[in-house]
Amino acid sequence: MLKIISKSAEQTYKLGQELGRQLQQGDIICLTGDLGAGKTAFTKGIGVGLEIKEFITSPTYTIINEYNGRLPLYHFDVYRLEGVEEMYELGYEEYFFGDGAVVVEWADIVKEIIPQERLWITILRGKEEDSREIIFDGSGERYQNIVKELEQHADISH
Amino acid sequence: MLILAIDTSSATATTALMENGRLLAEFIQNTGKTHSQRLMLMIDEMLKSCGKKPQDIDLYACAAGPGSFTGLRIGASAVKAMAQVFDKPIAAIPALDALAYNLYRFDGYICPMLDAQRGAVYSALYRWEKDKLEKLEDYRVIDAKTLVDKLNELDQPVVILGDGIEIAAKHLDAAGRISLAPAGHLQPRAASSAAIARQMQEQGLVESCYSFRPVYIRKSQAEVEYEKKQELVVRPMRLEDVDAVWEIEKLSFRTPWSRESFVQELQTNLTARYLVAELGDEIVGYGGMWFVLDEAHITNIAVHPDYRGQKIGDRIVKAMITAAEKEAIKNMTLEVRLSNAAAINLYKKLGFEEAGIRKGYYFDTGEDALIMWRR
Repeated sequence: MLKIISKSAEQTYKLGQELGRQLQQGDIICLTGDLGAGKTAFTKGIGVGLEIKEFITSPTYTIINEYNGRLPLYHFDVYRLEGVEEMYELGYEEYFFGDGAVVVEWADIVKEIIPQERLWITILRGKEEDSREIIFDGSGERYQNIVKELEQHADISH
Repeated sequence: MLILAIDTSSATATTALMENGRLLAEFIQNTGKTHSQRLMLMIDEMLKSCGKKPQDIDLYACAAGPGSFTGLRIGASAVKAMAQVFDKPIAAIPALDALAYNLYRFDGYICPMLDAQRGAVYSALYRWEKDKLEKLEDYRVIDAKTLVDKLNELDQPVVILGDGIEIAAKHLDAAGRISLAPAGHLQPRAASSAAIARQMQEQGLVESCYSFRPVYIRKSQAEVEYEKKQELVVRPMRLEDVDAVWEIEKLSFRTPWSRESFVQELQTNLTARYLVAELGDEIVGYGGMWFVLDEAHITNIAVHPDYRGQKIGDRIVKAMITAAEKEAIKNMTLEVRLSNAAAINLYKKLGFEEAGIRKGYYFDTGEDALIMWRR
């Protein structure tokens, strides 16, 4: 578990970018945290790290957006879903076990279908206006390594 | 008769144009899932190269699944949109049947398989009996290794095809009697779908853009079905429900509608809305109405005799009220036999009021009808 205090939206975005650079096919990133804490901003950073040129927007209404970069990014926002049943109806397995990397915003809503090995990121509002607490929890060797890499790039870590 | 067929149920995107049984063109692109970007361009190029326009198409054929959920959705939305604009029917092609059709009259078992992720495939098992395709195992999601083991036990050679073979390949052993279809027939071919669509058209099995929907099958389906077993579901009627509905119709009315009338209601009457009540996998009742301007006219409601007295009729009428309100229709009307006190009571409970009598409305007995309105 790694906790990084981000002091600005810019820094949050850069952390996303660093994570994006490391992503490989089949990686699953779960994002949870306060409303408006910067989950989408973080995902925009991931997109840059994946060399995606399109503008990343929140898929709150479309549920899934697909972007093509160094590898495909499947960006889920499951806020509007009522549970895992709807994930099955979407055919989520084609994305989770497909040819790209997956980011799931509000992943706690569909916790039952999130694979055991994943990177779980929680973004919370910090004490100051623009500061954020970002908690990285990697399960499995692959994701623990990602967290170690991120640690090297963090300015302040605990 | 010009048929446009498309199949996007797997990694392959394919389109075909068939005119009176003659294949004019077929496109097959097998470069990965970029169907959403490629499909409309493929259709456009193909039509242009054949000197045809979208409005020339008389029938659409679309792979309805099982297969990739995303792929099926892309195909279904493209075809539904075109069929709606030009008001033409759609033939829902079972994707695995179409694959088996690639090996027309092959002597042996045919096992099409499509990638279902995590080592599983969508599959079924077929044999040709002369020119008739027999389905020996129904559509299912099955672990590729389990499937290969089962195929190895069969008494005759098996040919496998579809994008699932890449998953099955690692479980094949050289000594086995399983072989791959040749490259040209290995993936879905819209020409096969078009040929099947032609037969379906002759048998009256095509449907409207409103009723057409993809068939999704997934791993936990069996469990989900089991859980749903005792739960009554009221949903829109589909073509495959017609036989069961007609049975109930015959059991319920002295002068039943013909089977054909139900098919026509579903396929050609755009103002008709039909619902069925399903308990487990059995159709136990149905109801229909026509939307005439801002009014809904209930045409028929029936519950299977074995399931009466369980408030199923109640659920159907409520669902019809909801369906009408969804389309901003507030006024509903119906006629009921004066002697049918149970039904009259039910309608009253749901807000219908007596509005008059139609003398001798039922020509079988000469009985009067009570007109009821819900406003």
